[in-house]
Amino acid sequence: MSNIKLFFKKADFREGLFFLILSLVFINLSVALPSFGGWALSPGLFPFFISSVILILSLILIINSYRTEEALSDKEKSKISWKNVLITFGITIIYCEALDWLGFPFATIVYLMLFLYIAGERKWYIILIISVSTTLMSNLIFGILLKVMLP
Amino acid sequence: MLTTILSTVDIYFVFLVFVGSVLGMLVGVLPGLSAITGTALLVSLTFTWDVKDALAMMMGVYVLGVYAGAITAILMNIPGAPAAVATTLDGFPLAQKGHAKTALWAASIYSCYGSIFGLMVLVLVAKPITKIALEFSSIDYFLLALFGLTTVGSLTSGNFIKGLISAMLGVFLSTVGIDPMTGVQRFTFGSLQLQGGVPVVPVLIGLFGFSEVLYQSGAQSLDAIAVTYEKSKIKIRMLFTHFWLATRSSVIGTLVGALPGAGAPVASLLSYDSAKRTIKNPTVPFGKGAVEGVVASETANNACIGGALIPMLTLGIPGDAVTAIILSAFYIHGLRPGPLLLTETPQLFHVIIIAGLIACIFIFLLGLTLGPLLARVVTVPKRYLLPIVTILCIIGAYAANTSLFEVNLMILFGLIGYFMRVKGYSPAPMVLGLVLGQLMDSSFRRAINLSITEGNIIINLFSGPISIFLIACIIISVLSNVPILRNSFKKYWKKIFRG
Repeated sequence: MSNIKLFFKKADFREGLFFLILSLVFINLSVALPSFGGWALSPGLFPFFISSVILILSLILIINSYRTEEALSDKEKSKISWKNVLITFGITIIYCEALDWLGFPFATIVYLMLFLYIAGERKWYIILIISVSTTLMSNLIFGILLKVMLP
Repeated sequence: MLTTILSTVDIYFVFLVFVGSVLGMLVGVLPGLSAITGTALLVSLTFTWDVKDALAMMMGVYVLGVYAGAITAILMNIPGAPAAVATTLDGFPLAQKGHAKTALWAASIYSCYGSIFGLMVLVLVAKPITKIALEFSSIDYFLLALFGLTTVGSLTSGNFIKGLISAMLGVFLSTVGIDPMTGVQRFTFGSLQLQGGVPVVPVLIGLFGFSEVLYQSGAQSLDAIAVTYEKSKIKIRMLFTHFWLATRSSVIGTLVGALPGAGAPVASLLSYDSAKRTIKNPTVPFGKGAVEGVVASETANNACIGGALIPMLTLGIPGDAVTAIILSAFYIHGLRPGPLLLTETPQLFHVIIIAGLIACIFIFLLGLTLGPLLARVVTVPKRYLLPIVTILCIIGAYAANTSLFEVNLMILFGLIGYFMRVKGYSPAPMVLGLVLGQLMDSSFRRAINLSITEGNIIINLFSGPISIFLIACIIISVLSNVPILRNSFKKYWKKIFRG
């Protein structure tokens, strides 16, 4: 019983199950596509074929997970600071939304200041210098020299 | 050929290669960033440029990006790119003994030699391979792309099944958008932005650039990886005595590079292993500062460049992740690499070769002057670099189509790429799948449609000699990744050699 419990806890098993469900969704979406001029030209044929391959691969992943050892130990997992990842992702999303109504220069300065602070920098003058100089340099190099449209 | 070279090369062209080379050096020395990230960002920035100028800069980034990984590998024991892992084995011990400059010179000379060798092989074999490629039928193109994906799946991640899942997800993503054969919208869910398909550039930047930012943010320390740099005297004459080893390593590098998906990390490790087995009397034992180790690794990883360009330019199948990005740049500029590229736009083939050769000169010039200086970038704490890289990713994703939707897509794929990395799924097969997917889709359906009209589907599909050869390659590639079969095959060969 404990072996079965351990099996269900394995990352490969969970990932296999995830891809199995995903492939079933893909198959369902592929079959639902309208078909013109027979099955050979159907727009759903190729996605259906690829989804079926993903389904087979996810089944292999599940079967293999029963035989193989856990690759990432709990100790290794704890090395990842999920809080930092989430914060970085969150402030980047907010920054992208803010670009529309704050404009590139101002939004970028605020974003960089926030990022640097969260990353552990506490000297205000360093935060200010990096934020302002990076924004100015990006404007100069990309906007003026390379004629790239900035957000 | 000579007139093409003269008409291609001008000061501006050399300047663009130079700028690309400096950028390549920068991304090459920064651990985590690589030629892949550099070219991915460049594709978006050079979107509106002339294709010749864009390729010139990309080749600079590609060649120097592969080489520059050696600088931090030697000076700081930190491979700037996965291709330089083998270089650390002898490069860093050499630096520790006070021979850092000797190791840097060896890396520069033989990276330059390896790059030139690979590019020359490309020049020699491109036309014959193109002739064969013109004989390819639709199903052959499908099988070739499938073979590419199976090798990528096996070589880019530790787990073959995970590599294949990543590749197949990329192929599935390529089917999003209006189907070019029937005009039906596939998996767009009413989104106007997705009608043209999933844009490659934001996906690339997200999977390789922003995912790296998230990955590093999750690391325990965001401090610098500072190590000291020793000065030493150079034994130049000794350096020029390894040309036979360099030639052998170049052959290994070019061959491995030409295999879709293998890439420079595999080439350098194979070459290092081969040198270790065959050289009986190295200057000092391997692993303790043998120049031969640096020569073998660096020649092979740079020879890979020419090798990886062979399938990309002649068949439209990228040899590694960087060539997949260069391939996407071709598509973005309205070109289609493959057998017709050499006949329809030979000047672009020449541009790639010439830009590559100019970049080889910059390996030497920049490697010895700027290299040791740039290596100090590693002493900059990561907390300063990460926000700057994020801004570059956002500018890159926005620049291609001036669309905030693509920026959001980049961030989404950054998150996907992050989880893929944490869970052991390499993002490289996904990118190759996305790039090759459309070719696979159209070839697959065209071949099936043709074979239906001609009678027996299976016989019509798989009876050609090229199809049979490619099917055999796919079967070998898949079976060699089944552990039981691989182990018994190894035992069988050992028995034969002993017997």
